[in-house]
Amino acid sequence: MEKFFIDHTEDTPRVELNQEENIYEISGKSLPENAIAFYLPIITWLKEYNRNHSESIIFDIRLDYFNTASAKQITKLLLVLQDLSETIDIKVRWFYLEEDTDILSSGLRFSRLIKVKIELIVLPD
Amino acid sequence: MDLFTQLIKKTIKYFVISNLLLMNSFSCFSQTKKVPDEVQSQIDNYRTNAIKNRNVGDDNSAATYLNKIAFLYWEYFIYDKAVINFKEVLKINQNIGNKSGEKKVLENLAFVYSDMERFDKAIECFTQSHVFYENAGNKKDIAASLSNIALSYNNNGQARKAIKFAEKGLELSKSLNNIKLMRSFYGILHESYGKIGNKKKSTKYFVLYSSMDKHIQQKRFQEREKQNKAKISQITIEKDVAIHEKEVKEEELKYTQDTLEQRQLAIDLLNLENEAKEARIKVKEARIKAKEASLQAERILRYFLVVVFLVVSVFAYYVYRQMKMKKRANAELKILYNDIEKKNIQILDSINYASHIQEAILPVINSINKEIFNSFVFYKPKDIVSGDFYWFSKHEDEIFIAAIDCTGHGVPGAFMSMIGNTLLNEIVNERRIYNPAEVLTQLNEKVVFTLNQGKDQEGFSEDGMDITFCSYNKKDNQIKIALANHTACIFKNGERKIIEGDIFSIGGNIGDFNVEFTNHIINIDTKTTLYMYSDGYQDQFGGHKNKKYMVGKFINTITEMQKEDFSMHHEILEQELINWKGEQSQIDDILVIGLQFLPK
Repeated sequence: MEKFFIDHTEDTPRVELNQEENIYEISGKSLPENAIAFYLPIITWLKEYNRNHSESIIFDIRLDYFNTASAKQITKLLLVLQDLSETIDIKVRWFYLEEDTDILSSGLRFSRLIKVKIELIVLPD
Repeated sequence: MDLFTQLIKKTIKYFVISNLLLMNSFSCFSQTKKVPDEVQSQIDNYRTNAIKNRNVGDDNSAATYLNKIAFLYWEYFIYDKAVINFKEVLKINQNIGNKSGEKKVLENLAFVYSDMERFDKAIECFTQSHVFYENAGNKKDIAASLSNIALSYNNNGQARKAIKFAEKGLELSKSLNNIKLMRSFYGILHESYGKIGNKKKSTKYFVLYSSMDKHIQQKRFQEREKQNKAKISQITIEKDVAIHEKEVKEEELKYTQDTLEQRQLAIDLLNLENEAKEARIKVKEARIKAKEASLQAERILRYFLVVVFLVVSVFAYYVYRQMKMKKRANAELKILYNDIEKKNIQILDSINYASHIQEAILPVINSINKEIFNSFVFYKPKDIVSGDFYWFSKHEDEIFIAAIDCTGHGVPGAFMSMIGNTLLNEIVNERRIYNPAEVLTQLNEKVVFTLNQGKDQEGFSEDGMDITFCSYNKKDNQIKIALANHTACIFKNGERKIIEGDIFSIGGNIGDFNVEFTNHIINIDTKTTLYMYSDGYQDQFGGHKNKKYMVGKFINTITEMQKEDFSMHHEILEQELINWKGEQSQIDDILVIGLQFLPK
């Protein structure tokens, strides 16, 4: 699979999806003007993911802000991972700064809503 | 014959017979011999020629051939045949009157007879030839002839006759001062006087002979010396000449060399001239080249200037074109800008107008304030229109206040807010649903329905809203709060309570969850302050490290501001946000509602 890479901008996160090197990561801020358009290729890439290739995926989310529109797209993304987790061992690592209870609570909320193992990892300030 | 006689004889012969080639010591022996064959054939040849000449009448030539025959016989000691031939020559000479030849032949005959030792016959011949000498008158010849006669008489034993002729000849020789002849006569006289017994005279003449002979020898020696000297001098001269010639030749050579050198010099000079010429030419060429070079340089400079001019021109043209293009581009940009600005203005006008609509649906703060003890709404949309909005309604003793954060901001958020507003009006005002949890449940259903978010529906959208819905019953002195993906904060007697809402949103929910909401009931037994808010405030970036404000800090801020009078809270929140945000732009719509209730 071709690797997917978008560098971060002022209002969009850095996204790297690389099956060969087993790197799956979204990091930065996510407040795109059009959240659906921004997340569509990411979600498409994950939907077309070659299940035969990898035995396990560790998906890192290192967002320090996402707006409500992005939250909806992240939900959608996590649902795709939920589908994949039927055949592949998937773990989402949700990173949050120690004092950022917003991100923590978002992570908690997702871990309750979605049937994918979401590991909440605290980062020192 | 003694040795002395032989010597004299020899001397006489030497002197007289010049033609005789061979006169040897054997002449005294009369021998009869044959001539060798080749000599005989030559003799025969001469004789043939002699006969031929005689037949044609050339007696002179015939005599010559016969004479040659006579000499050949004489040479090979065949005297008789020599005599015969000489006699024939004599006869011919007598016939033709050749007196000189006759005289010579007579003499030769005399000598042949002498060799034959027939001195009487010799005397006869010498005497006959003498007549010719007497007639000719040459004293020296006469004297020589006399010596031959005298010697022959001496040899023939006729001493007195010999002395007579000898003395006569001596006198003649003395007159001629011919010492050689004198010596001959002295010898004959010495011998003849000796023969007749006159020793005195014989000795006298011997002495004279000896001295004369010595004198002759000396003279001969001197002569030879002279000849040698002459030869030497001649050789010297020749040598000198040779040297001279050599010198001359050397001179010539030198001259030639000099000439050559001169020529070489001339050539060199010529070469030099040529070189000079060449040098001049080169200088000229160099000058021409220099001139050419300078011309070239000028040309190059000219080219360079032309090139520079061209480059500058091109550059200038380029700049001009760029400027023109820029101008055009600027013009186009300006047009575009104007266009965009126009459109922007239109859009802004449109949005601004829309914002009036949105503002129109927003409740008037005063109407809220009328119903409760105190309140404020800190409402700060990110854009002109907002995804956040607040809603207010009243039914009898109950009032309903909601803080809503629709997904997205700006126009899409505003659309959602219009839906939310409409649906809330429908649920609460028309359907008279007053239970907050029930309101949210119905709201969710209606949003899902409105946005076709139902199961198996195409065009599923995740859009929706988070909401805090609060009902306040004045009669019951109680507030009920339901929260969809929201939190709220309550202060009672300085005590803070965070109300955690349900994790579900309104609309856009996922999974097979049964979306239900919970009511949080708070009794107003004391002064109670409720804060309802969207996440806009806490998500604002800013501060030293451009960090998110975060919920914790937000809760701290509203906790801290409890020390201040409620009327100050709006301003505090606003100031705090301004300080925090700094140069950063607002990240989302912000809504904070503060409500203060007092128990009845």
